[in-house]
Amino acid sequence: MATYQIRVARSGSDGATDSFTVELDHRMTVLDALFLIQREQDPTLSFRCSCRVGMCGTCAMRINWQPRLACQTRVLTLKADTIVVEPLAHLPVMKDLVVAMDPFFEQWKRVKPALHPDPKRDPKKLAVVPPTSEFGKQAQGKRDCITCGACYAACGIVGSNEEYLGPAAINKAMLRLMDPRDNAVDERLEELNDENGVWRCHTQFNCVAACPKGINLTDSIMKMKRSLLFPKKFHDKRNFVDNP
Amino acid sequence: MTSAISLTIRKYSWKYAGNLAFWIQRLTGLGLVFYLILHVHTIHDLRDPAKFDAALATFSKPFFKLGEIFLLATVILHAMNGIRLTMVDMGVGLTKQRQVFWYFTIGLGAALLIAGALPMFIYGILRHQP
Ligand code: SF4
Ligand code: FES
Repeated sequence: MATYQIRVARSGSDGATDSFTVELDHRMTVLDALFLIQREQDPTLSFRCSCRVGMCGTCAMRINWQPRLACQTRVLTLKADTIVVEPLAHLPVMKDLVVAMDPFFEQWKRVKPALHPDPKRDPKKLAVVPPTSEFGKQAQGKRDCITCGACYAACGIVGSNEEYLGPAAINKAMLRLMDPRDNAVDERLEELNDENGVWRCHTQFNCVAACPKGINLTDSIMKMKRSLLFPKKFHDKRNFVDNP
Repeated sequence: MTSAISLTIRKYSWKYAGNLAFWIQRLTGLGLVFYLILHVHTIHDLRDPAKFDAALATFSKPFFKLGEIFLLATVILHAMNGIRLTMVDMGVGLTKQRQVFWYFTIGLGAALLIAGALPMFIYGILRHQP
């Protein structure tokens, strides 16, 4: 056990933080620390979590200046006795560490995140997507997004322009565009080919550094930029899959 | 109460190499534009040969040499980071962005700076003859 100083940003206090002293085992996470504070010191402290195992994405917050999942951040790994916990940036704060995710999901909706299957296809027939195919390769490691918003909050472009699609939505669009079963290609490409679409990205790589799932979002954005520049290549790649 | 400025600055991910590179590119770019305007303006004023020689004597003073070394550093940072960004645009080093920034932009940039600034320092400042 070690003593940690947890400084939590409280809403309505003009950015001032409340400081709590807690005893933590080094295996405990920032989320554990917040629960401890809520139970023993200040029941009014607000934060959000659900799965506690890094798969729901509700507990993303800024921990020592970096967007992270509180449930996946062990206090020991921060290598600091003082831990500053703040709500995600570029999203409206509802209370303390709880932010409204609406701006993030508004952009997410713009790229039509759901599958829009080709009506001509027989829905009973399963599409065969070999792992060695382009989509199979692209989807590897790119489909793990848990919509936590860490990438959105880390992006400096989002901070200065709320019209920007944001990295997670573009990554989602790429996955759908690569999917040979999907039919909403032109609508999505149009949404991406916009001054507030892929072209707004200045390759800061903040999203890549922040993503708790290790998704290389800038890679997805650059792939989409190139697909828009070389549409023929993109369509060739899309149609390679065995499409019965 | 924390000031509004510091609260805003805190929202940007300063711990990330990519963010640092982004702001380096903006600030060095602005600095170079400012320098270029100053440069053209000074040259423009020097059409008279006597004035030109006098200005050249002023500009070879150690203080200006130091400024030149600073200018070289700004140019190298902007250029190396620009090359890195072009590489990113062409899809090179997308999975190794942090290494590319630290080893290529900063590391190789520092080596170039030392190679260029050393003679400037020795002949322009240490052995400067007024
Ligand atoms: S891409 Fe990564 S950081 Fe962005 S919302 Fe998905 S899991 Fe979170
Ligand atoms: S609580 Fe679900 S990701 Fe942290």
